[in-house]
Amino acid sequence: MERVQFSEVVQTFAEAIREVCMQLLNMDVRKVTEEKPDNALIRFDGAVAIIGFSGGFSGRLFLGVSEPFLAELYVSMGGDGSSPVEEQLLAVNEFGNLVAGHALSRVNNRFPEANVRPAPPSSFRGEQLVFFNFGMGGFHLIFETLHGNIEMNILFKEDQ
Amino acid sequence: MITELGNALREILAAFGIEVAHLKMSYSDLHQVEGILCIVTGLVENHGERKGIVSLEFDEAAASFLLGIMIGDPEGISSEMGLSALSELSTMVCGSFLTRLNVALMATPPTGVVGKRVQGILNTMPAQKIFLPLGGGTLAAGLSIS
Amino acid sequence: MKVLVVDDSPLVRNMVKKACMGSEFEVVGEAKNGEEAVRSYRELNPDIVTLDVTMPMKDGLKAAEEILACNPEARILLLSAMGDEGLLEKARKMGIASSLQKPFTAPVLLEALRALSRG
Repeated sequence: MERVQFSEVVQTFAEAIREVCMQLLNMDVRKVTEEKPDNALIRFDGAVAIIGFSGGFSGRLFLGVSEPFLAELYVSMGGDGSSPVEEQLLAVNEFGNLVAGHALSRVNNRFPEANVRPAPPSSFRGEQLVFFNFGMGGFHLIFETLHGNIEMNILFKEDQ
Repeated sequence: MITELGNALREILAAFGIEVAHLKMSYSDLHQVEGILCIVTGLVENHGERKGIVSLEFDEAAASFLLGIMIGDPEGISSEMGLSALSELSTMVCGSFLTRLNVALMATPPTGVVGKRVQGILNTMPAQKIFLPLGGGTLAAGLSIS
Repeated sequence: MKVLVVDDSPLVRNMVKKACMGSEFEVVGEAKNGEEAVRSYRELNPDIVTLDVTMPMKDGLKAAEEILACNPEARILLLSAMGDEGLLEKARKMGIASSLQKPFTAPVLLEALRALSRG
């Protein structure tokens, strides 16, 4: 299999966020920072989608969105009026599913032997949430939108 | 399959000298989080569309008890070492589970989350869970798979 | 035209229903997994099925296989977040000619349904 460049994979995920936000919300997003995290912990206030993936390489995608963005997301997915917590979590879930699906489709088309499959998305909300992954390296990107930031943290298993 | 997950968990806990006597089971339409600390591992099929989620969900008492045995650390879930130990436990449980099943499923790296009033949907598929009494608290192992 | 909407996500089912409202496509039923999809197809005999791939109890490709075995002329629009060539090739080989990658706007979905209904 052609060696996968993780930096290229990260850009594919970044492009997927832009595509999904444009198609779903008619919203442009702008990447404002990109860095390599040196910490295994992520502290986040808001709603989060987590999607693991495995195949030719494995890793996980973290997508954190602000409450205002979540509200827009929920409406774009057919929600109206009151938004029960469970339905908001489903909206975040679906957002993560769409971004991971778009990105990994491109990755698999670019590297056909990779055959990287996404696991079902999980979504979370709470207070003082701390997310942790060990033994992995990756990238942390922040995107600016009209309704608050999206934080994307993507990690790859280091022994692959 | 949930029985096999329960057996895998008991096997790994036994390796740390923890014997669990009683297992309670439940079924729900959605795989949701219970507890303050949850470790989620995805399952994907290499050449197919099958996928799922394995979860280990701890309340504070169960997590602290387990970490006291695993690493002798009373600060447990407040420390990176504690969280790392629980992640490793999850990896061992999933590895044992998949070996028992002997199916062409791969595990994704585990992701943990800890916090206050954690609400989460781990999978939109129905889930089965096994509840183990542990150190005065509860450890739940959950499985949702297509 | 009668449409059966199949997706385990209630949000996505809602999106499809809203897109069809006021159009020539009438949603006559919903299913949230592959087994319900096959059962509903036999009961409702829709003109078109919108079908998610990843679902509990039976995935979309297996459900499509059974629907096509029941009616080789069945019109299926595969909806998936994944759009890689491998999946699309698998679907084409099964006889599913149409697919759309999620998310989709209402006009894009309606155009895909119209193209499928024209045959």
